[in-house]
Amino acid sequence: MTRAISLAFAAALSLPLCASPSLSAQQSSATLRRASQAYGNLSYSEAINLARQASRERLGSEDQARAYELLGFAYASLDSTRQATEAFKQVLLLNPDRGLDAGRVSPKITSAFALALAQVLVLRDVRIDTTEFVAGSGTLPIRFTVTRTARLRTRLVGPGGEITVDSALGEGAVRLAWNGLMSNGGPPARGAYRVIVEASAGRDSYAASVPLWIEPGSVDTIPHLKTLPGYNLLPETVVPARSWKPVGLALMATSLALGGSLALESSKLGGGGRREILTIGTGAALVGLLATLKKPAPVPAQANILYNSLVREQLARRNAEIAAENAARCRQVKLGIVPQARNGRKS
Amino acid sequence: VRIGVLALGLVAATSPLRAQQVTVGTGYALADYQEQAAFLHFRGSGPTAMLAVERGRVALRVDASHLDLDPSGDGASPLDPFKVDQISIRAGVRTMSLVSVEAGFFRRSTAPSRAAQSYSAATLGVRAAYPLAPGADVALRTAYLAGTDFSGGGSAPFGIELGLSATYGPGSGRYRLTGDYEFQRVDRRTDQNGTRLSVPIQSSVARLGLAVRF
Repeated sequence: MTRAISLAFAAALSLPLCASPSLSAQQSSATLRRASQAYGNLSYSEAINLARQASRERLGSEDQARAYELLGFAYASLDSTRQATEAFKQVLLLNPDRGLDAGRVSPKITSAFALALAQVLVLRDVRIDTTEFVAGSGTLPIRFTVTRTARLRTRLVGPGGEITVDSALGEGAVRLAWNGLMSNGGPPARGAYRVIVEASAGRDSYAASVPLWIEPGSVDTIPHLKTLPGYNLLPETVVPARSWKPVGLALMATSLALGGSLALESSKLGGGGRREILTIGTGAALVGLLATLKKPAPVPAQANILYNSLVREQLARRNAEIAAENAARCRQVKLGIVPQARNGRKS
Repeated sequence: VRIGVLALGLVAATSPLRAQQVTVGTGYALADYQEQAAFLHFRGSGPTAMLAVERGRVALRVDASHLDLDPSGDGASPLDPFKVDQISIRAGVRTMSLVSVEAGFFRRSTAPSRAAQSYSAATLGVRAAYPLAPGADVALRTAYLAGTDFSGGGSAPFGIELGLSATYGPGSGRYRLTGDYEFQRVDRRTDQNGTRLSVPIQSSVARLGLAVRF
């Protein structure tokens, strides 16, 4: 009866494990395959023996990590936390990015895995995204997680030389940024580079690297503006409304000329001829009337002229800024960063 | 005439052709002339011509008329008709948007010379021009006649000229109808046997014509 309960409990523990992709994947070693089957059959002792045997075989690092992982799972299922932790430490050293889904795996196993994470020094999730930025003004984010407090030294090495991006103590999630300049102050040459992160704590050390392809290129310039967005030039002349001012002015001028002539006539000579002033005065009044009926001439719209000059001034200023920015951009280098496959090692 | 041609040549020579506006016109003038007393009254008409050159704020205008004057009024029968050639040259500088200061020369010659006074004078005055519409404007001017020199002697401490002109042209106003009125009064005084006599001269001329602007 006790054995039956124990088997049922073990089966409950093992259920999530069956879903583990690493153990259900194609395994190149027959021993490893048998170990996996034994674990699936809840024969943990047999699974431990077979997994240990498999770990001593000449396996690839992936299979070796699977063997240790199976070992860790089996030990954890048998409540052998210390051995499980040791096995998980080996898993992490072989595959530092390995993680367990806490929602699918037994807490017993995940707690042993967490213990292993706290004890081993590895760099996990070293990540560099494909990006483009201007050397000297933009940055390339470098992200990783270090499992223990360690001195971290991050370098970029390649055909253009070497530069230390950062060197400091760190723990947990670390986020660094490289400004795109090498130690000589210039942008890197085109080629394959590696970002190498070295962690050291006491006698433990770990290094991970991410290969990159760096492609320097020219920075796009900004086109000059022909108009300011949202600000349209206004007409600088407007046709005024028809008015009676022209005929009024003509009549006033005629009246002044007529009045002046009458006033200036010599009393000794008597009244002079009126024919001349009446002829021209009538003509002037007629001109005033025709000018009133004529389409008015466009007149300058001072407010619009002022507005347009301000807009043009602003446009010129903006274009001058663009020209200055383009001149600076012509001296800049845009870096295209494409990360390649990465690896890690313990030393 | 020589002074006018010289001034015109000076303005034309010192101005680039495209910056200048030259207006040439011709027409017909009506005239009224009175001298000394109400009975010496003449009326007539004749051809007239004008030339104007403008450049920026500076303008030069020459008006010339040839008039045939006949006696008019009640005492006309014993009087002889005569001919008048008159020329007016005015150079102006626009000092404000509408107002120009003008200085010039005026000369009137009569033939036969005994029929009426020939005289010349310097003029100094102002002209105000109001643009009414494209190709249409009206102008008023007045000038003081100074340094009047008469063929029959005498002097004129007071002489004044008053003018009204109007132009109208369809479209841009290259071709224009022009009308120009000119009133002149000169208070001539002579000294006859120690007696000072007042012999005023008064004339008015109306010119109607057609002008072309280049």
